[in-house]
Amino acid sequence: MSEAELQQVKFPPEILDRIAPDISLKRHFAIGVRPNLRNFTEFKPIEIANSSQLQESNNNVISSSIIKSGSTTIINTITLGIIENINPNEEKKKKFTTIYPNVEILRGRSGAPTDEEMILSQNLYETIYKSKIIPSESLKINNLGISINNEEEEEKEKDAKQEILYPDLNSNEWQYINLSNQYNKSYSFILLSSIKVYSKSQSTNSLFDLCYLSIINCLKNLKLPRCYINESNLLSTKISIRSRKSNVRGLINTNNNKLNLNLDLNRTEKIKLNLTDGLISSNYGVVDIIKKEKESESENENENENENEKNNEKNKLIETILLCDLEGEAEETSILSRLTVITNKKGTMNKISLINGDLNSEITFDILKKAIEISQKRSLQQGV
Amino acid sequence: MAFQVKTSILSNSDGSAELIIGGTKVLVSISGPIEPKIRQELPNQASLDIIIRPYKGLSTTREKLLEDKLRQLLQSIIIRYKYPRQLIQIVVQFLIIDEIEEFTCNELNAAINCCYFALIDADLALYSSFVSVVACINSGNLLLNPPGDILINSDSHHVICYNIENQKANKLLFLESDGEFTEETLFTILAKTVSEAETLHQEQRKIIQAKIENDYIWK
Repeated sequence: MSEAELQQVKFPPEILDRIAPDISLKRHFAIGVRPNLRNFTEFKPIEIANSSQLQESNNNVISSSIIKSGSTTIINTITLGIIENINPNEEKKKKFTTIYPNVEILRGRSGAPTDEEMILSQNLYETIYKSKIIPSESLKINNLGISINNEEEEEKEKDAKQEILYPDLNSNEWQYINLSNQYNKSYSFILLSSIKVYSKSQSTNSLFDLCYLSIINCLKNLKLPRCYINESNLLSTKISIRSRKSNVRGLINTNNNKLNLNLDLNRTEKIKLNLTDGLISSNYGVVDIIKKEKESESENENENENENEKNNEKNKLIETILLCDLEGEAEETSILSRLTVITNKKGTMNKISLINGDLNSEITFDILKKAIEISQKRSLQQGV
Repeated sequence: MAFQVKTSILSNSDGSAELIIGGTKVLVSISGPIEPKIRQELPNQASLDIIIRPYKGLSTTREKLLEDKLRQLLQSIIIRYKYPRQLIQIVVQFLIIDEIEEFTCNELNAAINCCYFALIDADLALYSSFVSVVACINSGNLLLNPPGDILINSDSHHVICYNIENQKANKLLFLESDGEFTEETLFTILAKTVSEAETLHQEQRKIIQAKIENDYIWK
C-alpha cells in the first residue's frame, strides 16, 4: 500500500496576511509584535507638508494640505462655491455649518464611489457639523463689492480698466452708487473639500483620522476672498447711465448675474472659526491575546493528563490589549472592537464612536478611559 | 419614554416590526436566512444586507453611513455562524422623523430598537438582547430622547446601545457621541443610561411576552 503524503504548504507572511488574517494576527501577537511592527500603543507617524504650492498654482484652490503617513498620502484641496440664502430666517436657525468633503481612495480603477468612500465623506461632513467648528456667519458674504469701469482711464487706454469698490473699503465712492435688487440678495460661501488618498495602507478608521486632520489643517490656513458683482448687473447704478456713451462695455461684462471672486491675495480675509487647538482624531482596536505564563508550575511529572490539561488552561492568560492606529489587512479584518476619539487641548472631546464588534474582546469602561487618556496626551503633543 | 410596537405586520417577510419612539416612526422588515448572491456569500457565516430608506426621497450617503453603523452593531449580535452561506436582509424604512438632515441619532436609536423586535419576530438567533438609548446634554442638563429642535442646540448628544444579559445592562455594545463634552460628562451619562436601558428592557420583555402569547393562541 502506498501512502499518500500530505505536504505542508508554507506561505510567506504577506500572503498568510491575505488568506488567513486571523491566524496571521494571532501568530504575530504570540511573538509579541503587531503585523506592522509598531508597539501596541504606538501611533503611526504623520508628516504634514508645509507648502502652499497648490494654492499658488491653482486659482480656484483656496486652501490645501498634504499629509503623509507611511506610504499613504492624502492631498486635500478646498475650493469655494457660492449659494444664495433664499430663506434668511431659516438660515438663522442653523448657527453652524459644515464642509462638503469628497473622499476618493485611488486604487487605479475608475467607477462609482465605493461604500467606504461615501461613508468616510459623510462621516467627516457630520463630524465637522456637530463639532460646531464653522459658524454660518463666518461664511456669509458681507461687503459685496461692485466692479466699475473707470471711464477716465478708458479714454487713455483701449481696454477699459476695472476698479472694484467695496462698501467698507471705499466708503467715499460708495455713497454715489445706487444699489439694485441684485445687490440686496444675501450670499454665502460653501466649502468643498476634495480629498484624494493615494496608496492606502491604513484601516478605514485610520483614514478617517488622517482626513479629519487634513480638513482641520486646511481650515486653519483658510482665507476667504472678497466677492464682487459686475456693474452691468446693476441696472440702476449711476455708472450704468454713463455707459450709454460706450457700446464696448456690454461686451466686456458678459457674465450676467454672476458673482466674481477677487483673487487679489492682499484682499483676502482669514475665516473666523470656532476652532479649539490640538484637535486630533485617534483610533483604537481592542483584541484578546493569549499569553502563556507561569510555566514553572507544572513541575510534577507524575500528575495525570487531565490535570495537566487543566493546568494548561490556567496557564493560558488572556490579556485584553488596546492597539492604536489600526493598519494593514490582518488588523482591519480581524479586529472588530473599535474606537475613535476626537480630543483637543482643552481636555474636552468632540466625538467618540465605539463599537464592540467582537464579543470576546470587549471594550470595557476601563479601556475606554485608557483610550481617552492616550488621545488627550496625543492632543497635547501632536494636535494641530 | 415608551415604545409603541407592532410586530409581524408585513405578511411577506420573515419578520417585521413597526416602532414609534418619541417623534420617530420606523418600519423594519427582515428576510432571512435566504439564498445570497454569489458575491455576498460567506463560507462560514451569514452575510448581512442592510438597506435604509429615508422617510422621503431616495437614500443618499447619509443613509449609507447609518447602514454602516447598524451593520457594525448587528453583525456582532446575530449568531451568524448558525447560518453559513446564507443572507439576512434587513430593510429599515423610516416613516416619520424628528430631526434635521445633519442629525441621525434619533433615527439610529429607533432603527436599533426596532431591529430588536424584528429580529425576534424573524426567529433569528441572537447572542443577547440589546437596547438603545439616546441622550443629549442641553445647557448642562441630561435629557433622554430629545426632540429634534432641542437636539440642534444641544451641547452634545449620544446614542448608547447596551447588551442585556440576565436583565442587566452590563456591556456597552455601541456608543456614538458627538458635540463637545468632557470625560466626566460621558461617564455620568453612561452611568445614568444604564438604569434607563434596564427599564426599557422590562418593557421589551412585556411586549415580547404579549407577542408570544398572541402568536401561540391556538395552543
